[in-house]
Amino acid sequence: MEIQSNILDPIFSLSQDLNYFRPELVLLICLFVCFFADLLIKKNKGLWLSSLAISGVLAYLWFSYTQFIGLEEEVYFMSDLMRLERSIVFVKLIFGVTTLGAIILAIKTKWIQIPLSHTGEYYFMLIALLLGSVLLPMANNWLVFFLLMEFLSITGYIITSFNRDKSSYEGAIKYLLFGAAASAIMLYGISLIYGMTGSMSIGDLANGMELDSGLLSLGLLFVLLGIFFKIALFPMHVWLPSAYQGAPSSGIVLLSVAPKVAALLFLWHLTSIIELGKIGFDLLPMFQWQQMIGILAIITMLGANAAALWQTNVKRLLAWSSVGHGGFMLAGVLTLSAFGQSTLLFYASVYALMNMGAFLLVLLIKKRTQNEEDINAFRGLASLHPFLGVLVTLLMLSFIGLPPTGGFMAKFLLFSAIWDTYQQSGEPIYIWVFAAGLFSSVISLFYYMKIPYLMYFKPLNSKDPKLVSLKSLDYLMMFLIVVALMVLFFKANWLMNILNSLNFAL
Amino acid sequence: MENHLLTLIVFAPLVMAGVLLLVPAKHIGFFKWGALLGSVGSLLAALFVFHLYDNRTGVTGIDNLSTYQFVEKMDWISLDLGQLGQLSIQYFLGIDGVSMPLILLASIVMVIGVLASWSVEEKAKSYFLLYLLLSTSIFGCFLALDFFLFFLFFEFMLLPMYFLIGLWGGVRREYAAIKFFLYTFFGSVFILIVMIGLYSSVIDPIKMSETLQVSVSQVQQMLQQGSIASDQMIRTFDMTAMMQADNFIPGSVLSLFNGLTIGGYSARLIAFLFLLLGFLIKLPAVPFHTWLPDAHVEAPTAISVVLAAILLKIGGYGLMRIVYPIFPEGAIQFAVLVGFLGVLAIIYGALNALAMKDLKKMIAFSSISHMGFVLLGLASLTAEGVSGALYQMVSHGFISAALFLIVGVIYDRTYSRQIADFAGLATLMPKFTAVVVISFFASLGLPGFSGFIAELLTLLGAFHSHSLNDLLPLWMPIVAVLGLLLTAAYYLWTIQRMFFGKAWLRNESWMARLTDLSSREWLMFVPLILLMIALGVFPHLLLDISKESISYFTELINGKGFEQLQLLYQMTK
Repeated sequence: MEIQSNILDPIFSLSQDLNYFRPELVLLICLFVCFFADLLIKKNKGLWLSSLAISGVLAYLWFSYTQFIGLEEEVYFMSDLMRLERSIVFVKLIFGVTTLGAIILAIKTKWIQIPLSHTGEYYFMLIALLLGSVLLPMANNWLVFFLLMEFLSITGYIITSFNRDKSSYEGAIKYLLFGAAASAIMLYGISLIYGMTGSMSIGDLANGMELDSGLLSLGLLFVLLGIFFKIALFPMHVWLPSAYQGAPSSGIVLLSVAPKVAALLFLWHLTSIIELGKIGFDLLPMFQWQQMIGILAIITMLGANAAALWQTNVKRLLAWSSVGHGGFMLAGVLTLSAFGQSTLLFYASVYALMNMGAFLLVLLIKKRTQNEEDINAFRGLASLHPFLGVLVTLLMLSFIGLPPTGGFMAKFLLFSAIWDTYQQSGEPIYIWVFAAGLFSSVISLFYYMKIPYLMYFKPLNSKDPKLVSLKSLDYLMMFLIVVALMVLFFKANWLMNILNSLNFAL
Repeated sequence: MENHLLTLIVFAPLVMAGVLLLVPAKHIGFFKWGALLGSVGSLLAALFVFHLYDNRTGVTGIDNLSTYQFVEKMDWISLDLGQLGQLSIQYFLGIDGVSMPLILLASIVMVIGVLASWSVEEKAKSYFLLYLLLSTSIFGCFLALDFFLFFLFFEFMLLPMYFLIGLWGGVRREYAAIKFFLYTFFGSVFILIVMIGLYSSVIDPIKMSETLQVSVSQVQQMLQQGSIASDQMIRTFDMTAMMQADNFIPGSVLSLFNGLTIGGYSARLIAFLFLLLGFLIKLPAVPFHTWLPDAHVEAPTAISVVLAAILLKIGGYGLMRIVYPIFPEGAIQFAVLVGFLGVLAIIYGALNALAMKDLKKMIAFSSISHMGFVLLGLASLTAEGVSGALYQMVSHGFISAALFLIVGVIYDRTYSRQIADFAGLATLMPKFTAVVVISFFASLGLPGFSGFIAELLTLLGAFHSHSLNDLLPLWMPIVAVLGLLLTAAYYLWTIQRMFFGKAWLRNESWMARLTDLSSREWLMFVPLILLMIALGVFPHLLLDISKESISYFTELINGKGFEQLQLLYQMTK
């Protein structure tokens, strides 16, 4: 009997482990259902596929929610290949909602961008992207991590090229080339780390072996570059504006949130291990990882916001803004405190919402001008749609970080966490990050306000093609997003208290 | 005790805006009367508060929560920060001798502003909705005692102002609007930085005394001994808590007793300078004033009135309510700087006003010059000086409202504001000329008008400072007196050029349009002129409300300031 149970143990433990994968398994099933439905269904294909995808994501959300309720503490499973904690489950929920938004936007735009014959394929890719993003922060092994990064990159390339036009291919090829280089560098970094620690487990970094820290640091630096590529942070952000310009808007809604936040969360895990193990991550003496990440965050925040000033294409503008927001969130990683993590997740939630609103706006504009993305398409829009004007103004306030919006609360909390870190450590880098972040939001005022400015202060261009009337659904979505952003200001404690209860074990 | 009068003042306009939102845009009359009703609602509530206001001795406010009146305090956002304890943001309103006069000023001017907007027909719905939003954020700013709430109103004010200037303004309105927005936002980032620093350094002793079951002073004692665990601390935005050094967590950046230094300077002094900068941009003080002439020239008349009469005062009010009481040692350390900026603004503003060819620009620079007196009076930290500063804020509020309305009268009729375009207007518009002469004389500080009392008190205070606390050198008030001469010069010169002599207009066709004041215009000017004279003849009308708070304020800042500055010097040695 004993022998038998020993034989069965791995199977028991496997079924135990699969329990932690419930949401992901749902996604996997949904993915293949979409794939085969695409082949089999002939009539009303768009409707069928969309409802399948939406119900799949809803089921995924439900399972993530039960996981969120059920999970108590950090767990390691699959022979320590994967880990799970409540903060990861929380971002699963954010990603799920974002994917829903992306699918709804895709449904709304199919007549502009994605031919019906590719609908199934497109949903397949969106859900695959979601799957990869969900799994990435769970990785506790360098190989798993690398595979997931590649998985995310490849789905990313395909989504970027989905518009099948020149700018789309241009964006995708830039993305691909950069991605390939980043992957190669990262892989080299991983091999260095393996060579130094003799273990593929990420957690083993913390065991603090007496090693030649120079090579280990180099390996970590290379891995960091790969992560920075995914988050699109300086100096690995160059691909982003072109990719955004080319990619379908509904795709970017997901592409600009899920992989970014997933990689940030992974980075959080990695840096907390570096910090915990007191690994001398110092390429130069007097130059610790806090300094390095801090300086990169400062450059990203100031540089991206300054670069956005000159953009006239809405999607490129949003691309630079997304790089900037990545910089803000990177600054949040610096805190490495429980409060810091809550504020980072709060920021990520607000950012996901704002982003959805922004790309909804892009779609409205494209509808209006038959596929133009120039910022001048906003001219005089408020005189036609006064209510939309108010909503867009509030959305832009949130992007700038002005009250009474969630954007203000997110920045306020994030920078409070940085201030607290400064207060506790006294390291001057934190105060510089703090100041740079706040002042880059002054810079961002210029370009975010351009949109309300054009909507209200400029007359309608008489040469404009006639406006396609906005449906009440457009208004409703925008309205819901803006209301949610206001609630995140006036009742920020609702979300923050959930986040705070996540994980204080840091 | 439990009433919601202050909430009524703040939110009456907002509620009205909510109602008007539902009215279709074509009923222009609704919006005008609705906006009037909303602002009259605030005015009535403010007058009622004034009626009930208790100005007996000892009822001081400033840093003493129990002597604030009409206090409303509710929990708004409470966050659990884990090891860092708790964060509590409150809906916290209250009134004392500093805010009472300003609330009266604001509520009166907002009503007059609606009257001045009566001719707005284009996009009237948006105009009056934005106007009502602006009213709410202005009243909120003057009444909030929670820093976060204050900041919310302070920042939210920018948006309606941006659109009001940018949509209904003059030729270069877009430039002026974004310039106004950027300058103030830039300043408010400095305020935000200090706000974050403050709340993470300060605890709410009252709430903690409830959770820990000990008295307030015991909480402060335990805190300073370090016997309260970090996760039990309730961090607060309560301004009155921030004004007591005992509420600062030991070791926090802004703590007085063992705070950090940044680059060799005490963090507290740097924080003082940051806040000062943020509010000086709003005031505005030279050299941060360049947005003001642009904003004034481009804004429509009513918005210029609100901007000059109320928004500028928020800068001065912020200094009195937040900067000085929270960082009294900065007030002592940088008294000469503040005083110097005041004198600089007085002289520089007056010289510029003298050189302006555009009447509205001239008045904008005269505003800058007059705001210099606020700084000078405040810097002196004497009871006379600070009373003078507050008096100047109120008096300038009424006078500048009249001055910008005067420009509006001419501009509405001729679409020109150039001084050189007019001569001998006295023969064409005798009644209007009388109003102009009265307002100009009030502004240049003729005895019998409110401006005289304000400037007299300020200068007395500045002179007195030399012998009392030795903060300001004697040359400052002397140079400031020179500013009075310049003020007289540009006003008298303008009257002579525009109103006296033989009637002449740049454009003959204006002759028919230059009719004398209409009854609506009388309705706006008469209360303002009456108030200027009343405050000039019966200064105790205003001084009675504020004297308790002001004398307490000066004692507090002088006492704590010198003491804490000494402590800081010992710390940094």
